[in-house]
Amino acid sequence: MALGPPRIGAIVLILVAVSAATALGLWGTRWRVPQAPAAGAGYTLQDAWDGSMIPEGGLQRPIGIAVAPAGDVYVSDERLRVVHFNAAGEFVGEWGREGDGRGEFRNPVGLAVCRDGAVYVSDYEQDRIQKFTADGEFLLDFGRAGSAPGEFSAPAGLAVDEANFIYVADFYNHRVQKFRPDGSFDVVIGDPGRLGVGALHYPTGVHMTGQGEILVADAYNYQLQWFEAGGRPLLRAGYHLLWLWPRPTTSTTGFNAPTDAATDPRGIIHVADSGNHRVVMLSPAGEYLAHWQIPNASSDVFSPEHITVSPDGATVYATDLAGDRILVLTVKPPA
Amino acid sequence: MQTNAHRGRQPLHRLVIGVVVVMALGQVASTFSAAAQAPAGDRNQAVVTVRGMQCPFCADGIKKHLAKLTGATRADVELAKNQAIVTFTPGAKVTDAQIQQAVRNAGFTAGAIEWRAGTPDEAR
Repeated sequence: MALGPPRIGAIVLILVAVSAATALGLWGTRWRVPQAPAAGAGYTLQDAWDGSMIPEGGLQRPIGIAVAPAGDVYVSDERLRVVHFNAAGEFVGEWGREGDGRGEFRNPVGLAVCRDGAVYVSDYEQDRIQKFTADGEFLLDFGRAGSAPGEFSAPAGLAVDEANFIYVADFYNHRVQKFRPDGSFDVVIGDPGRLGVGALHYPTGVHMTGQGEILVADAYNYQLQWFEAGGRPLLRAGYHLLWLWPRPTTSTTGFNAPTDAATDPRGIIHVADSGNHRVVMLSPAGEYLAHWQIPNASSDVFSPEHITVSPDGATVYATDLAGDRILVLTVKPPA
Repeated sequence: MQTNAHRGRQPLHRLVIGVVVVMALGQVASTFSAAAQAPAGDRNQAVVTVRGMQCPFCADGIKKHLAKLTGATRADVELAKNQAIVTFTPGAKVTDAQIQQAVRNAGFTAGAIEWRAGTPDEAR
């Protein structure tokens, strides 16, 4: 059967479009599944902290978590506070109350601790970031509602780099923003979008890797993305239909709403794959190694939300909002 | 002189006019519909069906957008019931369309909206 010129033209156009899409999609896709599961890699549930010893009440829908350089753990929860635990899970202190003033919260969601022990808290409702000493003494705040540079629409996850620059996952603005240590705006990282590298869609978590790269939990593009500290997109990991369109998956080739990620001193990546109710372990190259699933997880709520790693890399802490607790997992790295 | 080409555009004109009329009627109907669904009397609490908000970031986002509605005193979500519950001051002038827009701004689509009498405590 002979094809007329219009039909040949359409076929060529389709082939060109598919090739371009494939090339665009392959560029930057780092997720690779090893041929065999990584020997010995995995997690063991070591403990679950419900904060029942806290005088003001146990943990209630905890969502933010960060580890200090000395190993202490900070958690934010629905009681509008930040709770300070030591590495053994013992209560050290807490601060915060309802309001819009210094040390007051409406919905504290993200946490980060810098090298000197200062604690940053993002408030999803107030659209601002507050900085405190390790004991909760107010130091500074910045940000307001909006979409201009330096403004937020529901700031979620936080990270701090070696030079004390602050990175904020700006949920409804579909971007990450970088701030100087004094809280002044520096640069926007990522663009709103669904396709291609650098496009972000409802990012919820951000993390600084040991190599100085920004690792973003691009939750509703169902992927992780790496950026240079200056904002240039590097790579991404997740399942993409036709190598192009990010899609959720329950398989080990991707995620379903990855809401946070953290790396340990070996470069191993731990992902809060919240829609799948699991913690996923990736190699430094982004290869799947192992995962651990929350037993009997409620299908009504995605968990875990945020995740962090102890300074020695031996323990992973993750918030289980639905279970009103912190999951403490022992890491078994690959042999 | 009327050309063939001109005569050929006449159906297009009629189509454009028809579309404009339908859009205008739709706008008028929407306005009346929204006004008709504004809370009446002591029905100051809207129960909004929102599906797919298992993610806490999304649920908090819906609460945040609904709480910004004029007259809203409280917004909550019931994840297990796929519901968002907004309580307004008595007599607040809010329409279903405004609620639907707030939910849309939060990245979701609102389903049925039921109005009832309520207090902030009942929304918990």
